[in-house]
Formats: sequence, structure tokens, C-alpha cells
Amino acid sequence: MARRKPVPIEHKPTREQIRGRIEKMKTYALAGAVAAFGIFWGLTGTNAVNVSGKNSTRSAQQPAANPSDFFKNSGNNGLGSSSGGGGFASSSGS
Amino acid sequence: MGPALVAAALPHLAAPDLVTPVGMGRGHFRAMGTTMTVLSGAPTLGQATRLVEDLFATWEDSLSRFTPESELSYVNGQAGRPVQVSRLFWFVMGRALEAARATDGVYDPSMGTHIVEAGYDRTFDEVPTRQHHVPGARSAGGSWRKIHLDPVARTVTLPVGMRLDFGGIAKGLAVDAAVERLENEGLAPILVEAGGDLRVLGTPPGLDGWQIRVDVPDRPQVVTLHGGAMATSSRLRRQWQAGGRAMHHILDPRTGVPAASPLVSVTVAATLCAQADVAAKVALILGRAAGSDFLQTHGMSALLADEHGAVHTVGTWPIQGSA
Repeated sequence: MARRKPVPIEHKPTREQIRGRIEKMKTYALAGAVAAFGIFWGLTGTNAVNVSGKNSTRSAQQPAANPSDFFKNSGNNGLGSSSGGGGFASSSGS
Repeated sequence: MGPALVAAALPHLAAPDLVTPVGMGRGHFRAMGTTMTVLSGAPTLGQATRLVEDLFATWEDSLSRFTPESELSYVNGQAGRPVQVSRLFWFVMGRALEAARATDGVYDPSMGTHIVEAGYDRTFDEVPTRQHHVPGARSAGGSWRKIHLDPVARTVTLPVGMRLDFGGIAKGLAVDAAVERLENEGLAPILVEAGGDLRVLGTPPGLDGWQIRVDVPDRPQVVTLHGGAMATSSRLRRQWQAGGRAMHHILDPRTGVPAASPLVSVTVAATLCAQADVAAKVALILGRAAGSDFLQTHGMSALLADEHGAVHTVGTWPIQGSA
């Protein structure tokens, strides 16, 4: 069995460097967890209506995050009076 | 056999006195049981009309409740079992449920069984010749809350006994999709109208808006629409008699029968055609006070006509005669 080549003493990390590496790994782990949660939530939450994935079950009875999403930015102020005439099209009802 | 079901639909008022803006052309075709209109720059009218016609054909193939081969008919026939659906169906289903939630169920896509039992079981052109039983009492709606969606498998499971009827929202969403497709093709300015539900993009050459005639009973108005969409919901258009009772196609999900609203028509201007369509229907069902509150809450402008011939405006809807 090949023996591991000893690391010269001048290349060994200091205690502070090891601590720094551990902190960096913790940061990456946290960022990964946040990203994974974001992807999961994107697939199963917010805009989905009633969702049942492998890990989550919601029914349409449960309120959505924002029940008014359908009418988001629905306001129309682009109306003006007209001098009359036949009109280009008709909103006649259905 | 029950009494004859006699339709009393008013003649369509999309009359010959409509004018076409200078430099533009007007295309027509039939889809979704109604007449479609496309207004586009004259040189590109053919291209624009073909794109819209193709889009509506695709949507109608999937979403018509009057076509036995449609995806909607298949899903309705499989109630109680999960059915994998197309992306188009999934999109419309999702938007319909969003609308149901946003209106506390006053818009209800799960009233398919109710509307069939009320006698509107085929395209309205065919309804007058049908014999139909007198509709009995129905339970209220609300079954949309029991629809189960699985976004991973993209399946829809309807509760047993329920049938979907998307109603006008499918038409409104199709108009929105058509306008967005034409925008992507660089074909603005355009107007796409489906049986009175319409949306515009850009403005006609030399003008700052589109003149739209609103067919209020006995007093049609013409307003200028600078952008966005407009839709009208009316209980005067698709009417019939059954058992001596006046029936119309706008059901109140709270009762399960045609809405007993004092309003006869509501026209709404909104950003999107689907929003205008749903809002007009909901306001008509709710009546003048609650309907106006609903529309104001969402910042929409509207014209409400009641059964006594009076009209009421909401938001920035122009008072006729004002500058």
C-alpha cells in the first residue's frame, strides 16, 4: 500500500486557515439549502393552485399566497369619451 | 317530454355600421361559437388573421365542451380519475382556479353539470330546436375547491359528478394569447375581438385610441380605448324559456340557477381580456352595489346597465357627453 507523502511543515494550514475553510463550507451549505428550498417552493408553492407533489399536498380549498393574483394590475385607465360614430368594434356581450 | 325550449337571443348587434380605421383592414372568421374579428394594418391583415384563426382552432379543439373529441370533454368524462392534460389545458385550468379564488367562487369553472341541466347543452345556435325538461332545483356550485391538480404528473382529477365549463375565461385567455402572439410577430397595431370580448395593442394610424361601441340596451355608447381590453357580460343575449321560466346562461354559483340580478349587462375595461371577462360576469352576478365595489377594489372601469334602463359607471368610465 502506497504511503501518503508527508506534507512539509511549511505547507500545513494554520488553525486560523482551517477555521476559515470550515466557515466557508458552512456558508456554501447554507446557500445550497436556500437555493434548494427556493426551487422546491417554485415548483410547489406560490403560483401553483392546488398542488400535490411527492412531498407536498395542498387542495384548492386552501388559500393561496395572494388570492387576487388573477386581477393583478387589472386596472385600466385608458378610457376616453368618444365623439360618436359607429365604432371600430363592438363589445356586445356574450 | 317537457315543454319546448325556445331561445330568445337578441340578434347580434355587431352591425354593418362599424367602420375600419384608415390604413387598416378587417378580417373575420367563426370560432368558439361566435364571430371573430381582427383589425390589423392592411398589408399584414392576412397574416394576422391566419395566426389568430390557427390559435383559436387549437384552443377550441382542446377546450370546447360542445365537441365530444375535445380534451375538456375527455376530462369531464373521466371525473374521479386523474387525467394527464396538455400544457394548454393545464394553463387554462390554473387560471380558471385563480379566478375562482380571487372572486370567492362567484366565478366558478365547475358549473358544467348545472348549465347542461339548465338546457344549454350544445352550441347556442342549436339550443332553440331542442326539447328539454324543466330544470329542477340544483345545488350550489363550489366543486372547484375539490379539483385536484398534480403539477409533477400534470394531471387533473375532477370530483365525481362534476363537469368543467370554463365559460368566457377561455375565450378571454385566447384573445390575450392571440394579441401576445401578434405582438411577437411585430404586427401591432391590432385589435382582436371574440364575440364582444376584445383587446387592443397600439393605436390605429393617426389616432390615439380605438373607438369601441358598447351595446347597452336602447342606448349604445362609443368610448375610446387607448389600450388593454374590454368585455361585456349580458343576460339578454343567450336566453331561453323552459317551463315558463326565463333562463339565461349566467349561472349564480351560490344558487346553482341563472343569476337573478337586477343588472342586464356589465362592460368592463381591464388590462387583460380574461380579467375583463371574469370581472364583467362576476359584477353582473353580484348586482350593482356589490359588483361596483368588486370592480373598484381591482381598479377597473365599467358600465353597468340595469333592468330599468338606467346605466351606472364605475372608475374612469367616461360619462357620455363629457369631454
